[in-house]
Amino acid sequence: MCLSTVYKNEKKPGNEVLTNVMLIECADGFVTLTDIMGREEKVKGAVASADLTGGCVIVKEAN
Amino acid sequence: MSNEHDHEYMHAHGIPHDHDHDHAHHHHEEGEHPEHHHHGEYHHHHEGEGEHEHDHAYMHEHGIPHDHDHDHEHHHHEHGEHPDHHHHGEGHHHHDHEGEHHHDHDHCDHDHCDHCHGCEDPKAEILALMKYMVGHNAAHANELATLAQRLRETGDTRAAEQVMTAVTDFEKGNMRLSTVLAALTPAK
Repeated sequence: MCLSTVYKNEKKPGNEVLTNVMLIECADGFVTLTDIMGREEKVKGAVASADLTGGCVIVKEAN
Repeated sequence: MSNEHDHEYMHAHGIPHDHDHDHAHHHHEEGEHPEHHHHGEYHHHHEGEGEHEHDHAYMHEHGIPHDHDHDHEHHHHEHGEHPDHHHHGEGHHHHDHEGEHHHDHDHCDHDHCDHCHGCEDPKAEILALMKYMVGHNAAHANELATLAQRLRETGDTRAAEQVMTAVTDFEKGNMRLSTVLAALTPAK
């Protein structure tokens, strides 16, 4: 419902991948994030958790 | 009687004259002036015949077109600023010259290697967020009205009315935001 901040591996300062994320797509081992401005970030890995009330998503990065 | 003036005399007195040379510009280390004379605070130097050089800072100061002759490699400027090291509001960007660049954004604490974030007009992003929030608030107001209805159905009319009063206030606030948003949105 709300925009989210997506973190890589762990929610901590410095791990933010993208803020104001409105769309998360997972395909072919990649998580593609799109923010409200249409900017995209692609992370190789999978969504580990999504706190939809807290607006926080963790993506576990694949090696 | 000759009207010819000495070259230095013409420079000293601002007399227009031609420099009979090919106007080749050369890069040089600042402070290196094998044969130079002064124009105010700037240095020119002539190397042999027909060649003429302007000091790099002089060219910048006077808007004289010139090349920065480098192949995307690190180039140290001694002008007190680096053209590829710039600030965007609170963000701090580093661009290098090897085809990729890293951005450090103080506001979001992450680096980027493959694209430019935060280089856009910050006001556009603020407007986008405000537009999103106004819509989001309207959706929440509707959800709260639904909750008020469900409270009414449970028989708690008083609580339902209080929630609806809150919804009205909420909508008033959102209307105010909407007005600000409309004023900020550029006309198309």
